[in-house]
Amino acid sequence: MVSAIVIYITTFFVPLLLSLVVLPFYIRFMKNKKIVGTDIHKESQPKVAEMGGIIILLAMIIGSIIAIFIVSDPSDKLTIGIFCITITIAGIIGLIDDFKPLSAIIKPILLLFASIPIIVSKRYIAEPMLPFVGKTRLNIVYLALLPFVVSVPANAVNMLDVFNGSMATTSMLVLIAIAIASGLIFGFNFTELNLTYVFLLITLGALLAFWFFNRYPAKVFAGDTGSLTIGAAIGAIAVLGQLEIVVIIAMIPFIMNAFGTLSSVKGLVERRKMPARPTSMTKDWKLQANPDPKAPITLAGIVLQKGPLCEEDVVKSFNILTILSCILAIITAVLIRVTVK
Amino acid sequence: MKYYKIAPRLTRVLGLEIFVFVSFLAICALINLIAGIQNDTTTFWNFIIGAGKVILSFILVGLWLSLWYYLTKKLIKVKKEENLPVKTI
Repeated sequence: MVSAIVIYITTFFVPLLLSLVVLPFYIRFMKNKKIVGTDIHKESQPKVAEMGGIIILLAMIIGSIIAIFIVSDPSDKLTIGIFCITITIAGIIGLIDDFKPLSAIIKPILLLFASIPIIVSKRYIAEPMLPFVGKTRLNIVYLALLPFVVSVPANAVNMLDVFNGSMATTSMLVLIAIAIASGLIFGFNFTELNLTYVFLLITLGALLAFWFFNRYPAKVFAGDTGSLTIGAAIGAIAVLGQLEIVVIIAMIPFIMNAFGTLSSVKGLVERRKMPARPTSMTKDWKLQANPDPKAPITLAGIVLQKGPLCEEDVVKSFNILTILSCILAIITAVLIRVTVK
Repeated sequence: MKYYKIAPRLTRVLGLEIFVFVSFLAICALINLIAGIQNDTTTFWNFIIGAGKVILSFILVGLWLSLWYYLTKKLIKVKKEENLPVKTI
């Protein structure tokens, strides 16, 4: 029997090293094949390799398969398999979207199907924990909300993937907060296997490696494949790890960004079909909020209203907002722990 | 730019985040009060009271989400108005 520590180390380092090794070759390959996008936020307008999320998805699938082999409990094997299938469905939807853009309504609807493995396998406990209240029993209502548990975070993460490194850094912060919250609620016992940590480490490993190539100045873009995979992973972790409320609080900036876009464009509109871009560039290549009244107001738009900022600083602003929401998520976990105990 | 220099630009959004969190805790405290309502001994009334508790709790959560949405929208509106060009006579 492989010890929990060995499983944790393996599930973190396999996706990390795999992505670190494969991504440079992938970037070169995509550039040779001219599958590149223009980084419009830079004066030199560099061409950047597209769809780097494929590597995130593959690294996470391989990490999950290895975890299935080294975990001894059949029930744990099945749960890891469910996690793997969920992110794969979301990733494939992202891949289709990268090749042939889906409409703003079809994409979230298709993502509802990513929750099917969790629903069919009944790998959920319909007892979300609330601060002061403790465990709640929401059998039917929980089941009705389950399809949105993957779709909503996947779309929210996708909407925040707009600048170099913005999706990777904010998502990593959320994952770290979830890890701390899980430990606070269920105990930091690293000798016993906690599947939430396995899922978190698989996602974190792949994302950390990706961040090295996606941070400013980006050499690769995640594409919808990457952002939908990461968002789906966060949603699946929320359900499988009984951390629904903690994840909602940790994702406040993501939700706020989605609310802003939805309220300013009055509904779901595909990014490429928006009447105007939320930001524009100044003469010295800084980002500024687009004064066009048709422009959607995103989190970046709100951050930039006090004046232009360079791309790195906008990402830092997102990080500050996410750090605060992560602290609030950890406070939520403490309150849940106090209530449940 | 350093993180501490960027933070002051974000006071309103950070304030909104804290407000959303505090209001969520208040909603949880209210749900806790609702959950404490005594159930009836008869099956019919027990079901009605139980369903009422769930519906009331969901109305509260719905109100919280609507408030959050409204405040985000308001923050956007304020920012848009601030951004309008100044008229000169």
